[in-house]
Amino acid sequence: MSLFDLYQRVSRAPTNPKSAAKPRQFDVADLYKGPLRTAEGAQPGQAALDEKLRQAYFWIVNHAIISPHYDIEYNDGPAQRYAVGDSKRQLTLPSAQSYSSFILLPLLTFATRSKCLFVGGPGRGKTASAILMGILAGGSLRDVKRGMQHGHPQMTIADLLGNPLPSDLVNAQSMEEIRISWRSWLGMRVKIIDEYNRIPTRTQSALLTVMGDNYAEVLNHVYECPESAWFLTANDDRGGGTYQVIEALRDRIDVIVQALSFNSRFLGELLARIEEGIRPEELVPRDIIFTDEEIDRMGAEIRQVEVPQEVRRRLEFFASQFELAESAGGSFEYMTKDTARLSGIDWSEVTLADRGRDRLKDLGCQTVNGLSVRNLMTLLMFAKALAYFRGNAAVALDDLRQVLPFVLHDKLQPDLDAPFFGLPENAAYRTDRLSWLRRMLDLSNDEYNRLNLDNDDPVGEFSREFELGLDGVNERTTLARLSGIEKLIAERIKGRKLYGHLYDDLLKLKYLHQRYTNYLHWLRSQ
Amino acid sequence: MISAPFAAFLEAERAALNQCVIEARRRFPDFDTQAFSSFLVGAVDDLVAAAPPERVHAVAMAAYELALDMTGLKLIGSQARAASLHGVWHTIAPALMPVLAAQPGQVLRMLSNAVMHLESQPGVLIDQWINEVAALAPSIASLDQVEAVGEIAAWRAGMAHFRTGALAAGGRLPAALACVAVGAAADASWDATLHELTRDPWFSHGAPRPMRRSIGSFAGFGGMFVAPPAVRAYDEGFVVRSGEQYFLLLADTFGAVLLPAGRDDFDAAPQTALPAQRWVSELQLPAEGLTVCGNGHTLAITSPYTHAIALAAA
Repeated sequence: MSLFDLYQRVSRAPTNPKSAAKPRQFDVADLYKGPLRTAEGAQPGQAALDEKLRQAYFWIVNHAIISPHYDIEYNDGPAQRYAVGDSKRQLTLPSAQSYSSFILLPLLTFATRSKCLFVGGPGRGKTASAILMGILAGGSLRDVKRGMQHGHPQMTIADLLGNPLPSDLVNAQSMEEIRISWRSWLGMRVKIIDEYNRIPTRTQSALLTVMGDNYAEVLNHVYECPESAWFLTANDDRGGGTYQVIEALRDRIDVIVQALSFNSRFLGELLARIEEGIRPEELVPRDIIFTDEEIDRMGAEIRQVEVPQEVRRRLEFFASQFELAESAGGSFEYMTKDTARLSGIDWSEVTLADRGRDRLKDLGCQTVNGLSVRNLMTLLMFAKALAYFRGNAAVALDDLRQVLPFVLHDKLQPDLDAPFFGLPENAAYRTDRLSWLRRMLDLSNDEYNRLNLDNDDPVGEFSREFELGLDGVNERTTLARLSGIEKLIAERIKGRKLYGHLYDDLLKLKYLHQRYTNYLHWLRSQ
Repeated sequence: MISAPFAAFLEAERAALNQCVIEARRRFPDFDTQAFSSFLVGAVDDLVAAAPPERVHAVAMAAYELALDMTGLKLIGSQARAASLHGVWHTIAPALMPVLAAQPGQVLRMLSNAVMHLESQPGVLIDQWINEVAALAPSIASLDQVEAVGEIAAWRAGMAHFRTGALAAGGRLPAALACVAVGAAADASWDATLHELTRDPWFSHGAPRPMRRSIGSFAGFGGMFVAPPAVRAYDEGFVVRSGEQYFLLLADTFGAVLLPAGRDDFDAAPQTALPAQRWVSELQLPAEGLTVCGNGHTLAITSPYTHAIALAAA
């Protein structure tokens, strides 16, 4: 046991206790259990991995990063709320275990081997957080620091990936004979890129290949990187860097976490660290360090977390709101924001032509783009990871609600000229994207409830019927289903404006209609 | 005055040890520095002085760290929550020195936890546990043997629910040590001794059997029961109901313990009644409401006129 054991304590009590049956067997070894930790007798790695992940979270929160911002709120009963200031913003005292996004999201990134961008002003703990993640993956502090890539305007591809050996450059008769000295960070399980927006554009493209495709290439030689978690930092992600970050690189980032300001009430804690010479990253307890095998297993366990249909439907409904741009396409399938964007037309022209819809109520009018498949996959993965972190086997709507803003932070771009942002009560959403995204999900859920889609979803019924398969479905049944689809389409479009969710429903009905039509042709050809 | 080895250790590690105290004070805001210093002088010093020269540093470091923990947790000092820890440090630890010197932190923490565990159980003979472990210490050769001897001694001190585990622990010891630990002669056969102890919970190696013991009393006088208890027997012991509280009662020749139980346990146990007339005179209780129930080895006698349960070998 080290001298600094007091600082290295990990919670021995369950961090998120669940009731469990009491054992009826009396274990004589209980004699030696007590308040004094018998460290040599501890069996590291035997704790459930979700518990270990929570222990890591609480150690970081309690000992390493001073982040008293519990912005991921959970309630298991009524929460105390206060309206504060002239703006009447709500201060909520959550009634269940709540978390700090600045610690939690990087941990979920670590657990799912995803990519996380820290944004925020200098000196707010972005790099320190990233280093801690590297240590949690088993790296020594020295190796993690040496493996960290610092973005700067002169950074070349060779700086980033590695150099050809000079002697080979002179003597080699072919490219294959040139050996490459690869940078050691490429083989690390946690990769840290500090100030990535200071990297020159050409080097960013090389970084994109490593981030996106997990390999590096120099002079026709390829280095296959292991699966790893990525942590990038940027002091200002809105163009304040030396170079504009290429869009494809930004799109590879799964979550964006904002480093919030330091609460001056915690200055005493800082003072104590200075006086006592404590550097938390040097004192990470062994109990919370994960092996590669544990991270692999944790990832597999996270993927097994269920997403119940009622949660999935609400995500489908939310995602369906954003892609429709009725005036952008001449044919039904092309009435999308993507069509308008690809055409290069000015966005204001698209919105000017968009008439008839309630632009205040329609969530789709608040954004200039829709959601990509990658965004939705990331969202599902992080919702599963959060449910896993909380010790649950299934994703709850609250889990989705909490991770959504961090995943979509840089993905759903607001249309600040939309009527929604013009309302005085929504003015704050022009600057606070996280709250805006969460608000949009709440509004979407309200609409979902109003439409009673949990109980009245005929498109869903048609889908479930189709998913049962076409084996044994006869011509008469097929014709009846085709007729049913046509009837439903006629009913859905009657006297209604076209909104995003209706647009997706109609396309789904068209898809089903086409599948049944093809099947009918096949049946008749037999 | 402290011993020369401990003084040398303190001098050599001064900066690091001071840092530890600073951290402890930060972690435990009301850390009692005076109590810590007194413990170093009164307990740790003796232990360090008894350590073999080559293990002085390890013993001193482990004892120092443990002293920090115990002070922070208020296990020692003027507000100490654990009264019997001195027995571990002054009686057992020096006697165990060869094993302790090899793994000082583990041994000290284990034994300290054990004595606190025993303190939490009413009626356990803690001094007996300390003396038995200390008496057997010279024969103990490893950490595993420390564990086993401690477990057997805990059972013999009155932790009746450890009976099965303690007998199993005896199997981890050399036969002679196991026999002595359970109270038999050193040259007795361990297999035969184990057989007798397993067969009869009231077996006492030829000594007079403690035919009767009593457990529980009125909660108002510091006991466990808010109302005269009702008892039902099951194979290994009894389930007790007192008011809305339920307990498991386990008893043998060395003692009896009450442990938390649930209403389901009580409802699941069969309701039986044995003749009670004999106990009217023996216990000097009215015949009215006197109830006797038993399992294969123990009888439990209750009466509406007392909050205690009388226990006897069947």
